[in-house]
Amino acid sequence: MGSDLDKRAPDETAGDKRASDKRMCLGLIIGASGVQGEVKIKPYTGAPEDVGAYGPVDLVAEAQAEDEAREAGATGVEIRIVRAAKDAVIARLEGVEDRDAAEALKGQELYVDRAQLPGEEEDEFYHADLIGLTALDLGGATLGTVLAVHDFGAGEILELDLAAGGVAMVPFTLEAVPQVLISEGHIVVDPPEGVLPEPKAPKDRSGGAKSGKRKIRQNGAPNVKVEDAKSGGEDV
Amino acid sequence: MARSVWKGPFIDGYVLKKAEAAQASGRKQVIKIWSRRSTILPQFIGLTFGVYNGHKFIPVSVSEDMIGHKFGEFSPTRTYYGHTADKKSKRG
Repeated sequence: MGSDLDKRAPDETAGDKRASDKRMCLGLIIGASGVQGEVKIKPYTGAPEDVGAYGPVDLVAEAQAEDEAREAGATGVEIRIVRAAKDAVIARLEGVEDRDAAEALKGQELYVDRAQLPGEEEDEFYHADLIGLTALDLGGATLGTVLAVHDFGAGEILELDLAAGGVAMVPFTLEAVPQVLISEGHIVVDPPEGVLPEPKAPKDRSGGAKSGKRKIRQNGAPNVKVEDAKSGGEDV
Repeated sequence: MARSVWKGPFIDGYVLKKAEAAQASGRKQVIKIWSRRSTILPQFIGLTFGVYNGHKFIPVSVSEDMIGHKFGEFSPTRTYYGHTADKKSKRG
């Protein structure tokens, strides 16, 4: 079982080609702070101060497609975190010296290349690397794609968008996901019994229950006749 | 007000039956349950339940720290996808 899968390349971690093509959005500039050119950033990182931890960032307008920005030659801007604020961090960006310049950056997103992020430990994966991978079963057939990675307090879970329709939640464990091959763009899933939705059986339309109901309705018809008879009686 | 101690933890009967059957069979399976109000008991450690959130069954692998909590606590009914930026996951 899965013998052809065993011949494939071992798990890839940091620095592989496919992962390095990706870019990560670290935060969004939501306004200016003070009059000295500081900007207020809504962080998307695990720790808010990590917005400035991965080196120069590319500024991309929120509405602008990320790929378009790359083609336009977005350049890295040095960022320095000044302090934390409520649900945001205050930072200084290279070349931004006054409030007007800071306000002009409102709505810009901060991107870094995937390669700028530090490497992972063994059996550790960035969510951004996992999302979008194709999920194969042990036989090599496509199950679907990874939609999201969740942690609700009872272990990591992969949400799969199934090729057959619907979604499935698979525990992110060695038993359920024996192989993660980011370089090849897929994971191998051995879902425990009950994880994948069971195919729906076609409805039996020739059943007796409905015909029974019809009989009841038909049986109701004589009541009408009875009422007619009564009314006829009143007439008499 | 907290539940009286003399009553013991609440659990729906069918959950207990399903868990016992799964332990007896020894198969690797997700036990589908709808009872979000049932308490997690010590004998459930090591089992994986699929707890319904009104939409789908969320896998809940029971560990020692979860004893005394309710199944529903680990199966949120509203999912926020959010941003993934530098989040990492370790395979369990």
